[in-house]
Amino acid sequence: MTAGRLRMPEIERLAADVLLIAQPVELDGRVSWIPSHVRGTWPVNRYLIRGTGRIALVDTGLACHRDALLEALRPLVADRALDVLLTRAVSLESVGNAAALLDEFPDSTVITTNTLPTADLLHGARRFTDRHVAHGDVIDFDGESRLTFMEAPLKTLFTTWVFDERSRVLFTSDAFGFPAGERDPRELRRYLLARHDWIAHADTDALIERIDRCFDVRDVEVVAPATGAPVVGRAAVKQLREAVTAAIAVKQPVQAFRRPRYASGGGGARASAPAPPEDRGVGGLGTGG
Amino acid sequence: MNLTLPREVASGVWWLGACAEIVAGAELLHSHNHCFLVVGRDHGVLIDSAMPKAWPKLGRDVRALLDGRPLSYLLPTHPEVPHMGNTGVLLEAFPEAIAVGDVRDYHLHYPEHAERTRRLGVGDVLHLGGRDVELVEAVIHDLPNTLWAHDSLTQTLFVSDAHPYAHEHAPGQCALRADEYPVPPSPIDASFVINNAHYWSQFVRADVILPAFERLLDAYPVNLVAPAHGGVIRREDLEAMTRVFEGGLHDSWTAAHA
Repeated sequence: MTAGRLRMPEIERLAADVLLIAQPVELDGRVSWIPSHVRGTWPVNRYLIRGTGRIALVDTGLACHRDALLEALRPLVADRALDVLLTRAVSLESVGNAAALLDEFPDSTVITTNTLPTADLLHGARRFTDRHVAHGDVIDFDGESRLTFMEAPLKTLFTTWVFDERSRVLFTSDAFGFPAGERDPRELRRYLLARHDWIAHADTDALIERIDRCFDVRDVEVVAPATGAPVVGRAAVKQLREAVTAAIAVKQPVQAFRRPRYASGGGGARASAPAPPEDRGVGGLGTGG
Repeated sequence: MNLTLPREVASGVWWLGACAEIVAGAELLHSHNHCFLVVGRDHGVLIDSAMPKAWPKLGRDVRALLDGRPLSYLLPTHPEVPHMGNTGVLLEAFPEAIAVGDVRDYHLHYPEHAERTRRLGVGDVLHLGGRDVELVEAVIHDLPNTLWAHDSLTQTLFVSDAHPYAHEHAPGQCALRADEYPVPPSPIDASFVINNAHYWSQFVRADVILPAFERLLDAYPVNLVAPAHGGVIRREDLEAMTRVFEGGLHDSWTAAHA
């Protein structure tokens, strides 16, 4: 972002009434959820589900994107009532701009599956309604669609996936975020392990079964992750699922985990080493050795 | 016994924070949400900073306990709101402080403070004056970019998301060590936090994870274990509390494979 001029988000229609609002972060080794050797930029996504009288924002994104996000949202929200839907309320990727949004659009409704009061997670008194829903709940959205809340089958932290019946978009929060078009299981696995390092030690059959259950009972046309490339079209979604399943099932020897040591003499980015066979981070659950 | 936070659990190690209050059916549960201030002769470090709910009392408590010494370091164990939710306000309130540890992502969450972060890794040491705090591999975690810490003077191991448990609401219980509870914590008490924070436990067996913890105990002398989501544990109670944690992890696996 340059001083005095906001870099505005890219806004794209994913389905009839679902908009993608994407803003990039620079990959310089300082983003924990991307394999450390990857460079370039990476999209951080918010989604708008538009109804006639209401509009729902799925996740609020990173604080570094705040000003441009607010500017982009003002005309999109217009005179509709705003619902802020948090898929991962204890993560700053989900809740990072919630306080600013609730100031900008007072009397909004926060919809969350987290049992913590949202006010406990924000600084300052905000005027909003906290609506707690549970995994398994289906709620009406503006009389025009139904949103199903489910426990995310692939996640870190307390995370919810949401399915919009009208658009057939599955919002997958911190999971299923990969580079556009990447379907090589070994490459996908690097991205999986950067986020979900526990997969390296998991009963993968049970995990795959859990993921399949989420998809098999729904006609998913769009996979909409909180970061990375959304996937549009039944065939593309099927291809992605198969590739992710293969990536989870890859049998590789678990590396004895040793976190890289960093010199103490300065902050910020450091040149990263080439990626090891299993990306760094496989580990805290590691067998040590 | 009726205690409140902050509580000095070892020389210069202060237990702070606030429990999260959660309505669970007919029960009001308290889920521990703690942080710890370690004060040396010259510097202080705050390990984690709890949820925004703990502010502004947390800031007042830290300032009072420092008694004129600088809060030189914030050490958030990982970037999850209950562990670092007061990072921004602390950096504003304590302009001498920097955030240290695995601080990847913090330039995205606190762009205005990006220059006040320093990335450290396992084995790096904060010299506080008369004591050192060493960064330690987080052998049990939710987010991969988690670090634990060890205080050389009191041999306290700060374990973030390990050894968690919730407790039913009762006045004064929030500041009790694990051994001080009227009824000892059980695997059921551990399950609440495990179900929320350690989803992986449904797919990863406890016996894959816990040996790494045992090895860590072999490598570091430990008198106290200080979890963010449970009461402080004395060395002599650690074996029993590890079995409570193991029981909670096992229950999670069993339920998922029923």
